[in-house]
Amino acid sequence: MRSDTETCRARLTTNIKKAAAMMAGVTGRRDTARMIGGESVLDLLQEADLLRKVPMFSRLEPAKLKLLAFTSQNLSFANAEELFRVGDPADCAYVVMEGEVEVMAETGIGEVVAVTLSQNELVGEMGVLMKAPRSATIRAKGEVKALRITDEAFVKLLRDNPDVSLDVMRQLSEKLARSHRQFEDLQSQLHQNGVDG
Amino acid sequence: MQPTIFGFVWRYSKRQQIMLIALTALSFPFLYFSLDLPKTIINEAIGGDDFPRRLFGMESLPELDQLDYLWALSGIFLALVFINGGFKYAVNVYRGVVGERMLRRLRYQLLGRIMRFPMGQYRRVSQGELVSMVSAETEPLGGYIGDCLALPAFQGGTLITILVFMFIQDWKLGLAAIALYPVQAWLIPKLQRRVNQLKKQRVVRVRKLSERIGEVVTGIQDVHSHDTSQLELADFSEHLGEIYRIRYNIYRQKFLIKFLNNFIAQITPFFFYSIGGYLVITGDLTLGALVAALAAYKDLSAPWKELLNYYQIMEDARIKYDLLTETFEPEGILDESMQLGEPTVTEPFGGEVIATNLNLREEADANFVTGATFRFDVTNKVAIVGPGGSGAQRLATLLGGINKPLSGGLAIGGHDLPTLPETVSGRRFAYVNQEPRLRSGTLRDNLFYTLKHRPIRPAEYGEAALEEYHWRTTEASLSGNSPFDINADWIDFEAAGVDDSTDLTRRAVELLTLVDLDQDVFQLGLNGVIDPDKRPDLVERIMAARSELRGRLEDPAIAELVELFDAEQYNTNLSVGENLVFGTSLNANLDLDNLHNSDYVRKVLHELNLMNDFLVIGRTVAELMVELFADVPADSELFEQFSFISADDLPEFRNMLTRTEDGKTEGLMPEDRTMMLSLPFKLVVARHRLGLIDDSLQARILAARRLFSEGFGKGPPEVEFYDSERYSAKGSVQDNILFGRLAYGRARSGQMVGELIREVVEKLELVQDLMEVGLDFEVGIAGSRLSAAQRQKIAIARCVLKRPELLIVDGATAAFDNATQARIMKNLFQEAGERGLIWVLHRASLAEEFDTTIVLDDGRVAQAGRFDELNHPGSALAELVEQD
Repeated sequence: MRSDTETCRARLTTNIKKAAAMMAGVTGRRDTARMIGGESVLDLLQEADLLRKVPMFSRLEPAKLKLLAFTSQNLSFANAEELFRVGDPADCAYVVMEGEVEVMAETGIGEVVAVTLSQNELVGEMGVLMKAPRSATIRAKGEVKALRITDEAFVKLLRDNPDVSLDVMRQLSEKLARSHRQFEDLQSQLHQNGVDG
Repeated sequence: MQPTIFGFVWRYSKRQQIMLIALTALSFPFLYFSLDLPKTIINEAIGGDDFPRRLFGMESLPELDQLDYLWALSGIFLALVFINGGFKYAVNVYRGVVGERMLRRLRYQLLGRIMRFPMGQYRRVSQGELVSMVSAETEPLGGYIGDCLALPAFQGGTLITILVFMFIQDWKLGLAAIALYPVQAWLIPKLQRRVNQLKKQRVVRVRKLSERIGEVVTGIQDVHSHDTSQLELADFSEHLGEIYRIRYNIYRQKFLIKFLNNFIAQITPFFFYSIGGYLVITGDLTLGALVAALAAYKDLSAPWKELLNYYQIMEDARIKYDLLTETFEPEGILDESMQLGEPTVTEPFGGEVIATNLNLREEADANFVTGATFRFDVTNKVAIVGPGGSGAQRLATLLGGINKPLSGGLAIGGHDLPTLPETVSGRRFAYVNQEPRLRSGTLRDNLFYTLKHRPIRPAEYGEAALEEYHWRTTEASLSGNSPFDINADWIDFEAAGVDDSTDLTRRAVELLTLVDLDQDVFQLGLNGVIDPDKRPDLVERIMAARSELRGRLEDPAIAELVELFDAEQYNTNLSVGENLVFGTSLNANLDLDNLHNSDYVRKVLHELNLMNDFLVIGRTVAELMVELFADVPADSELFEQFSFISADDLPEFRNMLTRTEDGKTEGLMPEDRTMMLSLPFKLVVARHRLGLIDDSLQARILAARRLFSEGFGKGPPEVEFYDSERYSAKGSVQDNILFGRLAYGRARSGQMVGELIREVVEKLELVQDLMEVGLDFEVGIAGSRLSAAQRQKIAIARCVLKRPELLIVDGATAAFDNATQARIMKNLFQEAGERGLIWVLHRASLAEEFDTTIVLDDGRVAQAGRFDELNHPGSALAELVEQD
């Protein structure tokens, strides 16, 4: 069975081909027909496809995915460029489309890489949800392309799509549980050290 | 103010009023003659015989036969018509002039008084009321003042003439004609008094309404945020209803008076018929005399009616004037001499500021000063601290000469401060509080406001303008208005300690840095638009900045931040429309959102066979938009930000798609064509990522750009084209330096390019010039286009600009963050040098920096002296420091 996006792309492509063929007939210009009939329009569809691979967007209807792609900004970052800094106002979330980003943690010995996130992962959603300044700095590791979703578009997405909201909750809960486990580990280590010391 | 309107009229327009009466009197003989002449024409010229005869029987004139006699008399009649008309015209115009000049004088006096009100009066009378008083309430007074004496003189004269005529006919009939005048004279004023009462109420009500309108406008946010529009409307409705009720009663009373007047006027003939008839029958009166008296009576009623009408208008004017004086003569109004004339003290004050038993307390006033006694050196830096409502701020207004103490002494260098005229205190002190008010105008105007006390250098006028200027000054003096020319240069360079306007601007920029506003003004300068004809030198240097920036952008690391304008390249960060026009349209037909309607653009598209491509692309985009935005609510921001089609138009486009399902671009209905064509112009390749405008199409649009700019042999279209070698008069300074568009897909390109521009501008030493451009920024009504902090900073800077001997900062920096506050305070200390600085502090610990600290509590001076001496455990100051 074909996915919705494929169906959709097929339909749009057919339409365009139809129009292009017609136009080619009228004007006799091959280049225009080739342009529209070829892999065009399709940056947007590719982005929509990539968005589908982001777990929390996976159950979104194709039209909504496309709208999300259309209303997002496709940004490129140079190596080591910051997507945002800790303390910045949280006005958007990013989906990593190409490359990897590093979440930096502030420690006594300076900034260290806490986690590395890669393609199809969502970053910066926590700040948007909490309406609080960024809690960490995110940095590009190598060349990175990311879709920037404004806070308004993101919140609207959650509001309109209970499935997505639920998924965001699930992922945030997982993050919380992971942090909690790490905290317990640390505490027990500390405890042991204390006893041993 | 004169206590009554008659006093006012007599005091200021005696001569004109007499002139009006004289002019009126002069017109009487002609009027009389023109009424008499028809009789002569009919009886003598037409009906007479024994011709030839001389005109008016005068021997010096030649004899005329009947026809010539008729022509001559008719000619005289025609001349009289002209003369009478001329008199009427002259009197009316002159009456208008007198009335309007007096109205202008009255308003000017009222406005002058507003600026001399004691501070308490502004709390009692709202702004809205003042506006309605000065503008609306005075309006009918002008008309009245013109009529004030001339009308009763004219109508009264007519009335008396006719009465005399009647008494000559028969004194009894004369008596009969005026028999009811005493009744009217007794009854009408009685009724009028009730009307007057109502009119007073109406004025008060209308003022209340203006006050309410003012309140609602200023508090509009609360109306929106608490859903109280219906409450306000109900309140307005109540006010309007009350005004209606009053007006309704006025109408009833007024027309009752009219009715009585008419009734009485009609009843007098009853006396003529009965008594006159009786006299004729008994033979005491001839029938001819009775008929003549009746005819005369008819003429009598017109001026009488006019007089009664005048009486009502007069009463109306009298009440309005009385109500105005009530408000405009508050107790404690400043004497005019406080604001007029030349400064009485010119040498520096020096010495000490000494307050003894200072009191200021107004009714229900929580923030008061009582029994304050202290002294400090004029050059001292003085901190005033105290908890909220302690009177600290009120004390600052006393020191600044804003408020006057009710009792007690306040002296500076031996001069009594409260009686110092504003020509001294307003130039030598400066007071700034937390509610600075800017005026509409440029930032520069607002900054230099403190230097404009009197016109210093006269304005230069051309020949025509000079004549106009003379007319203006003559009129102003005839109405007792200001002798000063608003167009003159009022800026007092000496007060600011500078030599000329260049020096002043340099100083202004220095002060902007002092109050931390330089960056903001620089940014305003970058966003500003300059007229290349006026600043050719600056334009040249901005162009140098453009090429410098272009040089830097050759560095591949930052090259992709900006896509520069290049006439030979398709710019992927510009829309298709912008790429086609490639410049700023000077003609609404070629505005970006109107290109699809332009015949010229359509012709260009046809010429290059682009029309079909555009139609197909337009249809594809429409299809995509309809699909994407089908489920988006109409009020969503997404529509505004992203959709090519507004929510309202979406259904129409959907219908268009259905109509054109076959995809043919031939034989389209004109509106479908227009709809399709409206969309492609909006596509931005880098932003929309739809891939619809590929390389070959870009090349063809580039060809269209060339064709578009050439104009088919009829000259280029009205567009200022992007030209790398020319300054664009329409664009901002920043646009001109950048000469390109920020790249869409680069994160933070705006910020990075901003820094780059700053570097370039600094390197080319353009900062000062751009600050000057920033000074030309229009701040909007009450400075609304600036932030509150920016307004506050301007208010502080302009105080410092006039180098006051005493600068009083009444909490003006309290709203800034701590770092900014500390920085500005340090700068002001440095700037003040040997001059005095008094600061009302919201944080008592900051007082440590000052020479003297005065601690207020509950309106009294709790402590005064050096901070370290006062700040011991248990003291009022220590308590305040604790609370910080």
